[in-house]
Amino acid sequence: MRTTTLVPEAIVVAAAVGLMLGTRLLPRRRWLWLRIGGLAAVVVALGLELWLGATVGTLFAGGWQQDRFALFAKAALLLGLVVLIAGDLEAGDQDASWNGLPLAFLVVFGGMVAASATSLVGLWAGLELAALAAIAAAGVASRDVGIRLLLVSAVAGGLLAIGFGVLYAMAGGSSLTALATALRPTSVSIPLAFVVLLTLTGVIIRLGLAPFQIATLEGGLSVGPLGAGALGGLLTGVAAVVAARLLSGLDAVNLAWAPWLSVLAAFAMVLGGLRAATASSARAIVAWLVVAQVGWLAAGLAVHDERGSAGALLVLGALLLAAAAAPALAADENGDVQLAGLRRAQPIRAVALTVLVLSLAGVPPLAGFIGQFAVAAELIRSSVAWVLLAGLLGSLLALFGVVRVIRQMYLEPGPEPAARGRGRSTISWSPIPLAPAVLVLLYSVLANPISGLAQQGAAALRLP
Amino acid sequence: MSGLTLSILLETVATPAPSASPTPATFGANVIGFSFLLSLLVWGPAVMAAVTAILPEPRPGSRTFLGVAFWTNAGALALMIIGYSQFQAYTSGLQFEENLPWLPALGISYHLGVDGIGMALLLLNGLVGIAAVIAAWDLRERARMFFVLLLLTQATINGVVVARDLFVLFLFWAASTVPIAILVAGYGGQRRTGAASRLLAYWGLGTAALLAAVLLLSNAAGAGTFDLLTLGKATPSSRVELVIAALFALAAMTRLPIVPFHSWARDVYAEAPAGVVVLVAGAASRLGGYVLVRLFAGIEHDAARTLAPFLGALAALTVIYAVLAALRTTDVRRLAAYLALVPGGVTLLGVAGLTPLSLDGTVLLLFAGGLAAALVAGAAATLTERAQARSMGLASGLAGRIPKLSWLLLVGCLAVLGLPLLATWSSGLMVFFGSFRSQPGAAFMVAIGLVIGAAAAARLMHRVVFGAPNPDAPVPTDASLADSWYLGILVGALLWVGLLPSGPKLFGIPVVDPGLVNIVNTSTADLASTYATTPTPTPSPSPTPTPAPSETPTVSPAP
Repeated sequence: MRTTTLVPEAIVVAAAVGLMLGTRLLPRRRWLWLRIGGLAAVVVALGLELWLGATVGTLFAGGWQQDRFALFAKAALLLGLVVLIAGDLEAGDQDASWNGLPLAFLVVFGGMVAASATSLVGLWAGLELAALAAIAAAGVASRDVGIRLLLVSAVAGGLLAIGFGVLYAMAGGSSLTALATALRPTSVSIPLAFVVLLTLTGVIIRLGLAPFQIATLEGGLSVGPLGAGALGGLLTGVAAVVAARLLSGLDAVNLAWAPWLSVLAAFAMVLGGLRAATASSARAIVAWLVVAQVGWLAAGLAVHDERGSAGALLVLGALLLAAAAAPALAADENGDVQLAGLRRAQPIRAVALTVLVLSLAGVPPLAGFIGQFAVAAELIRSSVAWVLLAGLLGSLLALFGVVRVIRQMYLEPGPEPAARGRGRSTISWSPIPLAPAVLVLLYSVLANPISGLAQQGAAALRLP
Repeated sequence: MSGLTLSILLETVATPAPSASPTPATFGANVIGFSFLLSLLVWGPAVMAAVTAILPEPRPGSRTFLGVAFWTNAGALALMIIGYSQFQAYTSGLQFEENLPWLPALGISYHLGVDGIGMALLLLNGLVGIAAVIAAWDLRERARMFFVLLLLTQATINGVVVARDLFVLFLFWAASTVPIAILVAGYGGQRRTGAASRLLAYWGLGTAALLAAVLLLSNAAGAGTFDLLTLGKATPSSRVELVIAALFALAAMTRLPIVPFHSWARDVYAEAPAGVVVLVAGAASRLGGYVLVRLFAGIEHDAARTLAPFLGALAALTVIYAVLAALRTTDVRRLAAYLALVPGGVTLLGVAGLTPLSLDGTVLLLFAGGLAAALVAGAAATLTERAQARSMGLASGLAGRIPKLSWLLLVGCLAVLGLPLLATWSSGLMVFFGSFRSQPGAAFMVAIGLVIGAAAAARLMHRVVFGAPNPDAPVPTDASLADSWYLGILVGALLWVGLLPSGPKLFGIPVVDPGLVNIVNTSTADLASTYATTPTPTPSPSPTPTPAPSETPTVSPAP
């Protein structure tokens, strides 16, 4: 395997550095070109990833692995970054957005590192880099929130460090292969279960799985759209990638973690749906829908077999596309976007937000539904129907929130678009918000090849 | 005339035609063939909904969006009628079949096809769809969104009917919930938000039950597929089968609707505008009956036999409750809403009967009951709007002032209760005759309910139509041309099928209409063969056997 496989990662890092330097060296009037350049760099990286990343192999004496799982995960993260930047283009010219953009690239880079990691060290490094970058992206908009998130992150990082350390000691090595070899079903004991749960809790906090949703939810509600997208979309995606890799190494001792993960998944699905049904603002509804969909993702991982993980990967792709872009569409310069009459004021944004919210709620035939259906089928097959019941209850509750959002946008009269002289109105026809919606629709249309890729990705995890 | 009609029906059902026998073709049959007819019927309205959504804003007062919806529905109805006339009656198996792999990794295929049951439902959707559009003729505010949602709803309803893959069926079933909920929440009376919430809750529950049943069935089959033909041959354990059947029944009962899952219907029929009421009562709610016939009775035979007494009891409860509630209420729309529940109860009785005759009647009643429910609820919605009053105290003595609407409401009430000459009468009788053998108690109670229902309808007529006018009531206006047309379409279809269930014939050759009863007969005979108590006659070998359409290679559209 050649080191050219690393070109996408190099492009992402170079783009992050370029953006950082550009905002300091170039005059502000040219910053828009930086954003467009950044978007182009991600698209190129995605194309190269799909081309070069298709080669399976290892680098650095096995320390870096490119398999189908890494390919799927990286492609999904890069797509998430594309929609985040597209949404950010719509968000406007804000300092927080400019300072946060390079950090979003670093989140994705952390995810790419974790996706190709073969050891606990790689997973830890990738996840920590992604978490710190995401918190920094959120923190540039709101220092107080950033500090609070940093504290939460420190707890998560501590749990991970302790857990990884003990696992390393038990396995006698840091590689995931060594871990899988050392841990046998017979080795399940209360101390081991405690360590595994401790480790998993560290990942779950980053994942934003209820009741540990404080990072994604608080980020989604209290910071700018870019920070919210980085936290609720990209970081969640990176944490899911780490969880999938880590749990494949811990598969032999699934008795220690699968029931717990199932309980949390069920709780997240119900809580997310319930809160989405009762939330009042668009951003809150989006944030809670993300929590519910993370529950579906975790439910797929908790099945701990190949098909369950494939379902989880399908959910991951849909989640990244919707969760990274939705906060930007649900917010404007004044905070929460005015939903009432949005169809008249910003028709394209209304359509895009509708598609994203419907996908997050798992309404057919959109991307979220495809993934959730795949997970649901595995839940039945694995005889954990109670998790499915929780998920269905959560989806049903979420529908109330979604219908309310759509009704407000399309059927409630909002403020009349103010005239801008010479008969021109202030109705916004910007096509940019359409990009994430189109990608979500494409994800649904191309569900067949994508599900095939997800299955190959899950197979690379070598689960039963 | 009515006796003759019934005797034709009973004779037809009692001697189901063999599957592969040559039959007199309808005049003009096979002139036009479509290999993508069903896709067109599903995706056509969806595409036109998208077109409606992006059309430029027309000048104020124009009916651009209504025009798009109308011509889309007219086109769809024309295609359905062509499909109906091309349909090879007395032939079992699927026709107009399309089968493409969609998500092979998940065992999902884009498999569409119709048999006689599906064709009857498609035709119902076509008629109800165009009636719903015409019912919204006067809609001016937020018309774009209304017609977008209406077209989307129609697309999903057609999708459920033609889907032969349970994933696809579930997809359309679930997808229909959102546009209808928004239609109810956004348009209609003061209590529309509550109505929409109830609809969402009950339909959501039904959707969850359907998903669970589909997944359990697929898992039990172990075939890694969701194809209905394959899953129909699955033999899960009796316990699992019972759970699956109960879930199918639950999903169906939330839509049909059946007591105790009915409160959404009462509110929606009483609050939503006429166009929405017609669509929901006429087509969307009939999907519940379709699931009962297709999945509950069609797949889970043993469990259906076990659960039949419960369904029979619920059928009786639904009819008795509906007519008693209709007797008590003084709100005209609510009264009509309760009466519109009656066909659902009778449909459930037919499924509970599980005899060839009752199942045949059930399928016909899906068609006729949909039209009748749409007629009574739609007529009440229009009448109260024109009378500017909903209370019987105010809306009274209307026969002399708004005769057209008064008589149409009367016909609606009588159609729900099964007036001779209308399609509900013959289909209802088939249900009763079929189910008296297996569910005598439930059938008796339903019959009692219909008698009480007649009293409720008589009360409505006595006060609202023929009573003394209230001098304090606002001045009513009679049905507009659009109102007359949309209600007339429903009445006309009820009369057509009621008078000519086997279609008109010229020198023994079917002309124009092959006859609804002939279209559904073989499909229901196949379905009911499992439940037949007496051996059905063996078909005599045909000298030149014609292969069933499902066995012939089908031309699928390019992906």
